[in-house]
Amino acid sequence: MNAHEELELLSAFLDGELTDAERLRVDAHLPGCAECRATLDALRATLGDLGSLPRIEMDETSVSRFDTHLAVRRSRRPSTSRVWFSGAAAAAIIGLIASFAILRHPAFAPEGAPKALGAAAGSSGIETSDTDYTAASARAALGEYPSKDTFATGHYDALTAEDAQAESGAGTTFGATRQYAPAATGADARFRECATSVERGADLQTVRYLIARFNGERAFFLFYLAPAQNATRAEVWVLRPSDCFTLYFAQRKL
Amino acid sequence: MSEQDASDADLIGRHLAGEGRAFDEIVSRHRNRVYAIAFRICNRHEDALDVTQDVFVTAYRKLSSFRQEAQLTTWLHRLAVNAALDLARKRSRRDHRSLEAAEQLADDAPGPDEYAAASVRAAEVQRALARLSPDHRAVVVLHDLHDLDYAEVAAALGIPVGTVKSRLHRARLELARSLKHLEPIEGEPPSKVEKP
Repeated sequence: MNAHEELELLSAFLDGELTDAERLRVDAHLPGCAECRATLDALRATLGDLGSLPRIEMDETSVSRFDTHLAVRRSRRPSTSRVWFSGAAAAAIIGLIASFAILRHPAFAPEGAPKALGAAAGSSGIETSDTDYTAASARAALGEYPSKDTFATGHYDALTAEDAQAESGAGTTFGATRQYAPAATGADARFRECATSVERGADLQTVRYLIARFNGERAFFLFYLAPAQNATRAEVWVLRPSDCFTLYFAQRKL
Repeated sequence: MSEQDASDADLIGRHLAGEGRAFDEIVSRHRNRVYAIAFRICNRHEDALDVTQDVFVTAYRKLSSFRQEAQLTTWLHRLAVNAALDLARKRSRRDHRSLEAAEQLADDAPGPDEYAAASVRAAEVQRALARLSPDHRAVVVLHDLHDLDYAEVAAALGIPVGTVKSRLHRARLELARSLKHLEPIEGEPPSKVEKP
């Protein structure tokens, strides 16, 4: 080992990652080498600086957004296992159910044209409506979602279970069989649980919850903005209230 | 067994047996660490969130084939670092051909107010760290900021321990020069080339 290979060992020396033989060699070398001593001091100072960096933590809003988004993405996988829709603790769900009452909601939205997303419900309320949506009108409601840039494309990806089969090579997946395991019994209680389980993300401005009809049957709609690496998508999920089975899913790239 | 006492291996077993809440506990337990690693490598809050999402979606899908004698945290570290490096390299290739551009990125990196540097010096350190190449940044983040030893860093990055050793040393010397603990080397161009 030539005189200045010891220089290359100085970090490992500080980290205690040298063999005994290497460590003894460096120990013997240091008193006679000003450059190595100066480098060692510099490394120590640098480690001290790194130690002064603040600890990184996710803030509460990010955590809540994260959990909701993860639950949505997880539920896309074709799966026959029963999974909870989100990570809310049982106590939190019970608390939400107690504070939330579908029946207390005020008048329904006007009939007729599908209601577009606009300023989403900022509170944790869930709207109710008598509007009977179809796949096309649900997509239309999604299409009016204001994006922060101009619309990148007018491309709609409308996926039903059948489409998903065809699209499975394209990298998008759609889990039409996610089953929800509600604890409550009775159709209305299960509906509330389905609604409130996704309500955890409701303080986001980009989410809208709606109870209306889909092809004549009562359904729960979740309109959601999904930011990702290179694009933002607006998505709508249509869920069957009795078991949160996903009836329909569509997304639009923004 | 309370959630606190359950080991990662227990939680994986319970998840594979169909218990829905077990995976949520895994996420809860490890989410912040994955995010912190991703943030220090990418230096962007939204990118770090995307990386963290991708890590746990992948973990969810692949947990059934996870070899249970390996540590869950090592696997999560590897997923996190790989995803974060991919993103950091993409941005670095697409946007930056110069040191000034890299500095601009470091200054523009938005983050929650909690990350606002406690001191001017901490801000300088953050910028110096952001100026390192992604591969150099990764070893410093894992070893110096997250206390992994050389073997754990090697396992997380899929590289030999000897490479961790030399890469970490070079990364720290670069930081030392940025932070003025060492004189800059005369005539050496700011290097954005991946060093061994």
